[in-house]
Amino acid sequence: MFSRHFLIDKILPIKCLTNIIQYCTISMQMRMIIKFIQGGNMKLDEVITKRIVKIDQINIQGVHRKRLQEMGLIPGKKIYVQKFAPLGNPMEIKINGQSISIRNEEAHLIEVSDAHE
Amino acid sequence: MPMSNTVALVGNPNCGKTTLFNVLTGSRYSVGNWPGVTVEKKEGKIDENLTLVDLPGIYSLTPFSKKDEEIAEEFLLSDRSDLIVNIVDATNLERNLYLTSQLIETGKPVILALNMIDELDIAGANIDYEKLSELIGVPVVPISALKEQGIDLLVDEIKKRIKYPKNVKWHYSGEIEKYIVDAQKKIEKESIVYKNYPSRFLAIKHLENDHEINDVVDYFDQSQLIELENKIVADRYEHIRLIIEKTFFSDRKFLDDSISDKIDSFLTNKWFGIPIFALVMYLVFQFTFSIGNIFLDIIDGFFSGVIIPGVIGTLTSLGVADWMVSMIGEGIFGGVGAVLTFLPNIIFLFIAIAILEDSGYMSRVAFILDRGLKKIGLSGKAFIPMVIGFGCNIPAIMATRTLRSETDRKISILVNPFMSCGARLPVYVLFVNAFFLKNKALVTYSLYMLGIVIAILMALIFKKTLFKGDTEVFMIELPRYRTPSIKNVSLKVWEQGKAYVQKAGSIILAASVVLWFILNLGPDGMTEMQNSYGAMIGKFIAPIFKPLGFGDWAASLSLLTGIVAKEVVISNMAIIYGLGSSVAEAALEGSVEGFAPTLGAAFNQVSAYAFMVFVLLYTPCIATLAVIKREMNSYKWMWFQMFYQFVVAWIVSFIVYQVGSILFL
Repeated sequence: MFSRHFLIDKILPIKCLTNIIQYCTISMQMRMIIKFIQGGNMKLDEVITKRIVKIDQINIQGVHRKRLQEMGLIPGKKIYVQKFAPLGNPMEIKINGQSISIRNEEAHLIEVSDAHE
Repeated sequence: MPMSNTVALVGNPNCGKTTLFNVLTGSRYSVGNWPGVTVEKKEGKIDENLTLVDLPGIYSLTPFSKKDEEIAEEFLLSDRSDLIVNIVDATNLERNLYLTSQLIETGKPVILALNMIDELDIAGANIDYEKLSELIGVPVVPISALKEQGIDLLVDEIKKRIKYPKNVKWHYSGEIEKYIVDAQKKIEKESIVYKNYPSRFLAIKHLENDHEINDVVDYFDQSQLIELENKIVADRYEHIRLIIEKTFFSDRKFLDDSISDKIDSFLTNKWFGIPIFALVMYLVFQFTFSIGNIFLDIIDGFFSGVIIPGVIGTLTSLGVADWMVSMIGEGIFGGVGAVLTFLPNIIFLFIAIAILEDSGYMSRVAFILDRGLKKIGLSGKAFIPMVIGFGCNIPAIMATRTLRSETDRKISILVNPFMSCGARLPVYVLFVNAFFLKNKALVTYSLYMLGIVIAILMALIFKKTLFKGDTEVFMIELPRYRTPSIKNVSLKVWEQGKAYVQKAGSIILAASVVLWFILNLGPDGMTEMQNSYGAMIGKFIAPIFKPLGFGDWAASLSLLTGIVAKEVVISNMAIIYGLGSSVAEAALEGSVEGFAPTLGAAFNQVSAYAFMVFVLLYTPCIATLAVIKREMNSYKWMWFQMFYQFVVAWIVSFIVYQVGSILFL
């Protein structure tokens, strides 16, 4: 049926590629999980969904900072990461039992750490 | 004589403010379940000596070039407001009380109207109202605006507090209080004045690192202020937390998966979210047509079968002059009747939009589409005015005020008229029924979609050329889903339907009469339509439309007069083509032969579609232009709007007609 060459030339590289992709995704997830276990800082947009995190620092100034403040997003506050929108951006978080949507770009400037005791 | 007093109603967006305003004043304003429904302040009377002002919903008193908060802050601190009623969503105390903390600092007496207490019961939570009042230092009145509970108590409290005002201070920790007092002393010593703001309020604003205030007060330097801003905000939230801890009791946990989350697991689902949105929009139009058409038949029969022959018969028997009979029968009743015939379709469209608004789905649409809209330089929030534009562009353009970035707002205004408003629907209904009987909903849907596509393209072009600048920070609340209340939906539909009928009775009536005259008068006095002034005007501008496939004078004249109001297009066609009484009847029978001497002769399927495209895209009606002038604060933009939409409409219709002719004819 298939020649050896076919296997080596076509199937093998594809298999290799999928393996690499798989490895990358797994390692990314692992890294996040490890980060969580270590309790290290991470950005809000990197958090795996369905988790509670605590805000450590907000690297936004001026008007935009005030917008976050009035919504209750201040350091020390615990938030729940609900989901990402169908196209991957923005994200939905819960704070004080209220759902709020913010963009990943802003979320990236918010440093959080795992809040599961 | 008792003094007349003014009460300001303030609260977070979407906390039931407008509902309470309606209950207190007996007014009927639109209510929706998305943040930012109230975009202007409105006034009403509680009783003859008590005026209530409803301010736009705000999260805090932090005006940063944002209209809503500016309006609110300036009004609250002016001499005009004697008392503040702060409406608070009892189910979301933490965020709502943040605004309260700032309102108290204005130095005006504050009453806390604790709204949605009925929802608290459902959620199994309760609040110690007396304790809450004691801890904040202001009177607290539990109410339910929707169910009209506690309203009398609130009115009593308002009257009492106006007689005996009591100023309170928000509680800060010792450290912060010292900073405030220090800054305040300096402001008083140097007699710094900013607007008519009290010195303590100015001091607090300074601590909050408010840039405008920092220009006049410089007690702390910038590096101190960054730290102080964090401290004062954290201090407020800490005090709020303590208050809630002592007054709010709930057996529910922070993360309880609510019903809203379950609904959202479908509606904003990774895979189904966008297809569901497309389906919802399609169903809206299907609904508008299938149910609307049933009633359309009845109303049309009533007009053409009963009213018009009746009027003509009565007038003739009374011996009224022939031309008068013709003017009243064909001009007024024909023109106005043609517009009213489509009332059912429009009512059903309004119902559909009102349900979407009231349910809370609108914010989800913003959530789903934000990524796509970001690509064209807008935010997901810009989509809400677009959907409202399907009803009418005027409230839609006003709704753009909820967009915080000025460039976003301008672009949203400029492209909003491409959203096909209800007044354009009759044109589609007529043409679709006459020429596209098999694919009614699909053809109409395609027009709405085309409007969206053109709007997006133009937004992209504007963003790249006229408005280069940053996009607003996208942050939107996703309110809990609510079963749309019959009261809210019918209120909104009533209001918009009424406006449509009023327009038929005023502008369209006048336009019909004028049109009847220019169509029956010519240089030689009373004449045949072909020789009238109207025909002359039509013939004069017709060459412009010839390449688009509808270069006859009648269609041209209809389009020209349609700038008065889009409904006029259809009422004119009714008069000119003599469809008059039988317009919808013949359309519903679906025989183009029924139109053979009239519409069928002037149009074929391709030119009919090109005509609809033109009506969709060309210069908006006068009322919309006036709102654009007001919102953009410039005549230049208004003229620009008039001109560019005409050009866009011409180009797109040209392409549709020319390409369509090659493909289908």
